[in-house]
Amino acid sequence: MATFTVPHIRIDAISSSVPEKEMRLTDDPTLYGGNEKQLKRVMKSSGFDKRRVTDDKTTTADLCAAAAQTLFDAHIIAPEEPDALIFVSQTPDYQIPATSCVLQKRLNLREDVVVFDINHGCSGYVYGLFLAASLINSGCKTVLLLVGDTVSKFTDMFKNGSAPIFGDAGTATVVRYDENAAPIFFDIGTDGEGADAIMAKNGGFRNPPEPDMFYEDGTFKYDSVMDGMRIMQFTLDRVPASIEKLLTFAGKNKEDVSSFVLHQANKLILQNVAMSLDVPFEKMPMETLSKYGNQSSASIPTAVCDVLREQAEKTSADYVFCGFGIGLTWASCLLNLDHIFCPEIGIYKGEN
Amino acid sequence: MEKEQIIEGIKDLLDTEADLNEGTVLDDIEEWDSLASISVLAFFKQKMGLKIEAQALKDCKTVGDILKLAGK
Repeated sequence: MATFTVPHIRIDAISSSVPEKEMRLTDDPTLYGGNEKQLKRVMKSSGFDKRRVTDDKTTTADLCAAAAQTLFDAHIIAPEEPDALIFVSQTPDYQIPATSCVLQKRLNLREDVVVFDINHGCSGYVYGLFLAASLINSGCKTVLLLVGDTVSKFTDMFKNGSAPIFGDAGTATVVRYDENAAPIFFDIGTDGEGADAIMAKNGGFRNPPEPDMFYEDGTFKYDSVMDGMRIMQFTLDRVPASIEKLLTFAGKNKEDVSSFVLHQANKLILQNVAMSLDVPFEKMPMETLSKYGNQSSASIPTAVCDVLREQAEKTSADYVFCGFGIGLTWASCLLNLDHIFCPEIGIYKGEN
Repeated sequence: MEKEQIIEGIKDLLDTEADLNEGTVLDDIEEWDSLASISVLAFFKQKMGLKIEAQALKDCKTVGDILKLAGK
């Protein structure tokens, strides 16, 4: 199970917003203990180079609000239109309440609107699409899906050298009911045994903040873990299988799919997934991660805005989206994008 | 592809100065990490058309174990 067909779903727009500050892996001389050779090897094989990171004040909600504002300004959607707002992120503004409540007011949405947050990372965009599509099948006409992360704020991932690869971004997607739209097909799964393969252990209610959970510079010790070997193994075991299952379920061939837009985890992983599926590299975008880093839940919509803009705006074509990682979870979908609004990636320069 | 060529290929992938032979323990190689192992999977697929399972590679302890996966 865990395959679903959701009919009558049209994606009308996808936008992405990234912070102004750009960093390069070579900017930090302490990375990999100052081992230049190791850094070069990582850059070459993983494809990582540049990334965008927020300042101390900017949050995921700011980036998502900016991405949504782009769509309001272009009159793709009016603030009073959404029947539901979904905010998918692992970097919310507050412990409580849900950031989606704050965003309802901030974006001037109606009061009779369904809002909720979803805590998912790398697979979060496809999860968000699944929930948006499900809400539409429950009677909503329009859902505003805001998906993003500012993983750079898990500062000790950078201190311990496990994750100098993450970039920040917020995205907005408009999902609408359309009697004539093609269905979206989904394959979704979870392997909770791998929950501790990517984890920030401190700061929740299992390990609440204690005085000894701070570095000398005052930043918090999240005690972040990233077990590269396990994640890689999980990805190669699960992702090609999920995509194959999805295609079979949808009754489509690989040739029917114009692009396979996967979570921008790293270049080597994507190349291996492509080889495993016998999909040519040209049909699997990988360059976004070199420019923007691994953007967690925001990487799929940002990749669409980065490299598939023209195609998405000017054609009708089928795509496979697949997110995978933290959880450990995976979520794949096959959908049609028919002349959507897909603006260039916006640069967030702070509130005016 | 001969054993020696595969070992040379792995050495190139890892960009290591270490002297590799069948008995070399992978964890003793400074450059052996998740990126390295995924490079090895790609190497087998691209150069030899071999599809190696990630789990099988993870179970390898030595360079010789990797060669066995490649049927050598």
